[in-house]
Order: sequence, then C-alpha cells, then structure tokens
Amino acid sequence: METLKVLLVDDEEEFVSTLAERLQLRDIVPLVATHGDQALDIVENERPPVVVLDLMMPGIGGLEVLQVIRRRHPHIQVILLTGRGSTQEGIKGMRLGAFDYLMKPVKIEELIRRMNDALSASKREDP
Amino acid sequence: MNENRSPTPDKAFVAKITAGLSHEFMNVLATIRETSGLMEDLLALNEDEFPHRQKFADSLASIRRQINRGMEIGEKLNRFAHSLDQPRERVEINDALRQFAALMQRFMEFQKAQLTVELEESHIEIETDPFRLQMVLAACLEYCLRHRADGGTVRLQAYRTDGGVAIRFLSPSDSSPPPIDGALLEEQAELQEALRSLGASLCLIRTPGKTGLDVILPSEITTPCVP
Repeated sequence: METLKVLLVDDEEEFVSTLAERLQLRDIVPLVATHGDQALDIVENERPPVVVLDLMMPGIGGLEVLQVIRRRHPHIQVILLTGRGSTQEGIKGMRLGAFDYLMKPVKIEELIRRMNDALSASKREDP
Repeated sequence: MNENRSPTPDKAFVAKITAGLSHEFMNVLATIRETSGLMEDLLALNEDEFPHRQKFADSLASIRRQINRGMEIGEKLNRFAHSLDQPRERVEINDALRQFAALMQRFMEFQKAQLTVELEESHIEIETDPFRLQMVLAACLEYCLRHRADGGTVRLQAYRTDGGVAIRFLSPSDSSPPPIDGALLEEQAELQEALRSLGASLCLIRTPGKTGLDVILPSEITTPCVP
C-alpha cells in the first residue's frame, strides 16, 4: 500500500506536532507548517498530494493559502480544518476549491479516512 | 426608514472579544485532546509492558470526558458570542431553543430544576434578534421558576401561529401565579424594551396545577432595529 504524505498546517504548534506524531504511528508521513508562507514553501518543495489546513492563522490566512495551492497545483487536495465559529469560512473555502472541510475537534480515524479520500481524488487529477 | 442593522459598538466589542477567547479556549482543548490521544496510542502499543496500565487508561478516559465537556462549554460560549453579531437574522426556533436550554443548564441545576425541550414541529424559521430573544426567554424562565412547585420541570415548546411562532414555558405550580404585568414586567424595563424591539408579546397561561407563559413572536420584525 502506498504511503500517504500529508502536509499539516496550523499555527498551534503543539497541536500540529502532536497530531503529526499520531499520524506517524499510523504509517502516514506528516509534514508540518505553522504559518502560511512556510506551508507554501513546503508545497513547492515536497508536493504532498494532501494538505490539511487550518483556516484561522495569523499572517497569510488559510483561504489565501488554499487559493495559491489550487492555482499552482490543482491536483493537490486541501482539507480545511475549521473551528465551530468559522462555518461560513469553511463554506467559502469549498467554493474556492477545497476538497472538504472538517470541524475541530475531529477524530483521528475520521481525519485519516478523509485524507485517503483526498489522496484518491489527487491521483485521479494527476495520474 | 432608517434601519440600523449593525450591533452597537459595545455589543460588537463584547462579541468580538468573547468569540476570540472562546476560539483560543477551544484550541487549548484541542491540543490537550491530541496529547491525550497520543498517550492512548502509546499505551495501546505497549499494553503488556506498561506499569499501572489500567490506572493510566482510566485517567486518560477521564481526561477525554472533561475535554469533551470543556468543548461543549466552549461551543455554547462561541455561539452565544456570535448571537450578538447581527441585531436581526433568520433564526430556526428549534435550534435556538436547544441552544437556550444548553445555556441555562447550569442555572437549572442550581435551582434543582430541569428544563426539557419538547419540539414537535420541524423547522420553524423567523427573522428576529437572536440575542434579545435569549434575554426574553431567560426572563420568562425565571418567572416560571419563581412560581413553580418544588422540584418541578419546566417544559419548553414551540408552535407555529398565523403570524409567527409561540414559545411556551410550562411548569407545575401549586398556586395561581400573579399577573404578568405585576410579576414580570414592572421591574424589568430592559425586558419590556427587548419585547418591544422583537415585536413580541407575552400571554399568561393558567391551568389547574400549571403555570405558564407564551412568548408570541412575529415571523419578522417590522419596526426599525433598536441598537
């Protein structure tokens, strides 16, 4: 089975590094970014097929990062992770081409299921 | 008609700060949740070798329960903060009543009473001020609690009416309640103002052994917004 490489983007450093460790224990290769610019650099260098992106970040925001990724690399699928108060932003993100959006907190099994769905979609667009 | 559809600066400030802090609070809980999840993962990997395995598992389950509780509280707070965002918006009444019951849960526990939400009609939507609606509902609930029999349950219901919706509070009562004007409105100018701005009225229900109130709300507010 192919190893899933995923970029996790969240400004909550402890949250995202712990999530990365949990994914690693499940044989997923996580890449971590804690701000938008770093996320875009990693996308250019590593081309992960799936990105899990927090919407509410200081500096370059999640929606902007989403737009850049979709414009430069349409096959990369972006899953948005939003807080409960950010439903409208999540809907806006879907309109801008996000693969899916999930509400925090999300169970890790559910997150992995959506990441695998996103990986399949990425392969379809860039076989 | 000069309609002001923005909240007042003081309300907007409270809403902004509360929503921001509740978001931060949820981030803290999300991090604790992932950390305890990682500990659970590691425990599952080394089940046989781990000393005090059961104590650890029980403690992690307790942490998970409290995180879930904290997240529910954070969500209530966040929704409450966002109810200040718009002085008028489309509100689904069943959803609003469930949220109201959730907000009141702690107060009800202190009163050794229960609030049950009995929703029979699906999707009742009106245009109203979500924040002031909660203020009015809270005042009506207090009235019912003051006049209920000991240990009573307050039942909350909603019905469609020709012009909008009626929200009904019902509680068991040993005595006939005083008129609304005397008991509920006289000392509460703010409540009167809230009712007026919602275009709402109150109706006392007197049935043997029960006290109740109907809050009659129009399907939309026709008066200018009161900031």
